[in-house]
Amino acid sequence: MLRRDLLRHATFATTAGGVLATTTLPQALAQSRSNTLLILVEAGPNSLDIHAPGANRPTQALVWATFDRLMGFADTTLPQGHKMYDYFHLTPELAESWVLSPDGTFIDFTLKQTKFHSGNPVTSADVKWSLDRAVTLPGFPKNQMNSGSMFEPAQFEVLDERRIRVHWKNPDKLLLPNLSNAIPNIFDSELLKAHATAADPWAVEYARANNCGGGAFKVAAWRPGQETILERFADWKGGPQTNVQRIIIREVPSAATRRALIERGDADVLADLPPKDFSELIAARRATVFSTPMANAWRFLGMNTQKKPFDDKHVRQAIAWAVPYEDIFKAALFERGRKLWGATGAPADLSWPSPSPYSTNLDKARALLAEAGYPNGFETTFHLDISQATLHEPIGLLLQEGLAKIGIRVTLEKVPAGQLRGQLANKQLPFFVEDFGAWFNDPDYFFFIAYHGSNGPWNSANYVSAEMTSLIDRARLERDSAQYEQMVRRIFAIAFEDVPFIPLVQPFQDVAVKNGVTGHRYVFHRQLEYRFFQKP
Amino acid sequence: MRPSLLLIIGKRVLAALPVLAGVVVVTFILTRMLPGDPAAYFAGQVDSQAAIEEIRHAMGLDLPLPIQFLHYITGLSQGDLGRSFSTGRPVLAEMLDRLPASLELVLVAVAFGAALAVPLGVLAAVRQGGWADQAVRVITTAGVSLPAFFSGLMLIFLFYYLLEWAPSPVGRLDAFSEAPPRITGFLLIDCALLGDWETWHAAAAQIVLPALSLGLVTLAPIARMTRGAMLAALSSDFIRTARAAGLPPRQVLWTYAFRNAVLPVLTTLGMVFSYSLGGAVLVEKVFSWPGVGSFALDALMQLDYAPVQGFVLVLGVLYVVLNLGVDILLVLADPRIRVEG
Repeated sequence: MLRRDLLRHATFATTAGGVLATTTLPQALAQSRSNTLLILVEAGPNSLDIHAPGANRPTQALVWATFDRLMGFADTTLPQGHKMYDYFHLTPELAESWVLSPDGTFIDFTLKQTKFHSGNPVTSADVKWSLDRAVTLPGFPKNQMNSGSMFEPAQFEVLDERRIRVHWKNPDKLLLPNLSNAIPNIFDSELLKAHATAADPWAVEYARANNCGGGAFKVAAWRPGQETILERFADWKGGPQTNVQRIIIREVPSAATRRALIERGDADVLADLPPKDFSELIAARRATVFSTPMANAWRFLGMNTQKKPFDDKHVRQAIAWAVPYEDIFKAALFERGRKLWGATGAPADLSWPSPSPYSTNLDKARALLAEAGYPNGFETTFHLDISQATLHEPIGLLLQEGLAKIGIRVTLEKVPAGQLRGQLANKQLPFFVEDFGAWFNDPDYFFFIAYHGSNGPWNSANYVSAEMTSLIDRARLERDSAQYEQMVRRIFAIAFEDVPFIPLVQPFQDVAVKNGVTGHRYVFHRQLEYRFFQKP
Repeated sequence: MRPSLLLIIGKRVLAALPVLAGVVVVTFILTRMLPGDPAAYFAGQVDSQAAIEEIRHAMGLDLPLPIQFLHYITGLSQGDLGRSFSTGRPVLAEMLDRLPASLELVLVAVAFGAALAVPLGVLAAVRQGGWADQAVRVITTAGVSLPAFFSGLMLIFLFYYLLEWAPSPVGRLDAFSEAPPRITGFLLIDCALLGDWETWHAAAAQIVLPALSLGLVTLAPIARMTRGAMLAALSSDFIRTARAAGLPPRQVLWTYAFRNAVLPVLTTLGMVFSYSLGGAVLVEKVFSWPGVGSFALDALMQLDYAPVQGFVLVLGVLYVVLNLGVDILLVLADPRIRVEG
């Protein structure tokens, strides 16, 4: 192995450019490897610009590192020693300071004096162009900006070279978080304007395949389906610099292969593995595993509340009392998550998700089922995602076995991810398992996406309740914290009473790093934060 | 080239056209018949139905099917296979990048399979019914009964994880090697052309395990066909005559029997090559091999229509070319053969 390692380094060094060329001294070679971070992922980004239609989840991790936003989130340190974002504290990134107007209708940002990767200076015109782009491009960007009450370019006003004002009409608490997430990236507008066409005025075609930001890392190479190589941007002023000069994000589709690499110490960081592998990795101690309960996320069973027999809440409650929670937690989820069942009493505070009052109680389940008019149970189909079969199939099997005890006969149906999400968005499936997470911590935001009567694509239970919808709408704009708490507690109570979704766990984001690698940070988008890893 | 060969090629190409046209129509219809909604999938996190409709429009999926088909055909006639939403790149570019990776893997695998299976088949035929024949049967049956991805995982466990002989199974080159500038797209050929032997060794080290696991599956059909063809040849009159005339056994075996048995073996090799190309998907997954198979499978899972259509079409063309190539080889190997177009 040693000989081959040397060979590899030699190849790398000679192609890495002038500095190391022809140098074959072991120290110099070790140097190149020592400041390169190798990250293994199941799938990589399909775009370098998250505004491009169809940009996937890994793109969020990428743009988070290759672009800056006006603001970022501060850190808190978790018991295990790694850090987590603090939703309620924003920190400067591209902006050095900001001032809220006394009447609360606008906010003025002053920019740091800094540059894009191209060398162009970052000006308020770039910021305006980028925010204009985000509110204009259809799909995810516009949708997300709208959720923070940003609707049109007129809301972004350039005051001078380094100052920009953002106006808003209603006092929306989601505005500032919506200037700090993975959508409002600040683009090098001079560079992009040069590549804009009449048909593509925002240069999406160029941006999806070319580096055009000013973030901590720049894209050195991108081979979709294979690897993405990032290089540190030495002039970055958005946060602390790391000792990692280069990040190789390699796509390794097989979980078994990824695990073999981290166990052998050939990879530095790895996030996507089934819960079983993480529980074994932790036991084997061959790598350090950082676990963070994913904020605002849950893994749940959903029922279509407008399809028989799930349109009767007694049926849904019966199922919630019949789920074999402990078995699923141990045998399917390998305890990689926080239990979301078995609460006694109402939730202690407003943090969400919170455990439900349900637990496995077959007598209650049978009684409710009889009350609903199904004393002998019924037949139904349970849908799960093939690509997550290692996780979802055991859940389905245990559920099948558990529900059989109260007479409900379940047929399992495994379908491809694309099919499942489409059918869920279109409310076609009766009974299913899914994961859901929201970007922002406000509980009303989570319920707006999953429980609101506007019945968006993530309300896969097809759940419409007039009282719930009205509470969500009012809570969104409520400024009085006592009132807000009252509303949110009522929302929780209805959610548990009507139970369109049966929560199972708040999953962990498990990240394995080679022993010695530090700087892991959990961020709201639940993908890896590439920017702060440090090599020993 | 003899005129008859040109004629064969011309006829074959003409005969292939309706087949390919059928492939185009059928894959288009089949992908559209898949249940599910690609717009909802690729819209990802958006929380409004309106935003999904905007994505659908951007993907061109809000158009009526005949119009979509017209756009597809128009694109095809200009060599445009559409864009993959799952990788964000034109399908043609993906195919050109990935096809050499798949072909290289399958070529090495089939070469390995043939190098092992042909002598085994000959041995089994010569020692028909003996222990060697039985041993060959056991070996080839074992090869074909082990799913390639399973033998792949076992090989990784043994040679990478335990013994540390093999490099990390992360694709065509390890993470710290730089790929050579593209000439043919076949790494082993490109590195050789450039004289970059270090990278050649790195690439060769990467291909050994995946080619082995894929090659094991090809042993059985090749060995079985070789054995059968050799048995037929060995029991024929001219071999008896040759033996009776006192020709040396080696000459009888290789020059007369094998030369006659090679035709069905060549045909089998063509078939094995074709199905290995389609069947390499799981091996590609296990070894992170950036081939066309895993690309098409991912696209299918995500309802990404264009790559699925492109994959089937490219493979269709490849099969036609491959069959033609095998037929030409047959003619060259045995002048008595007449291939009808």
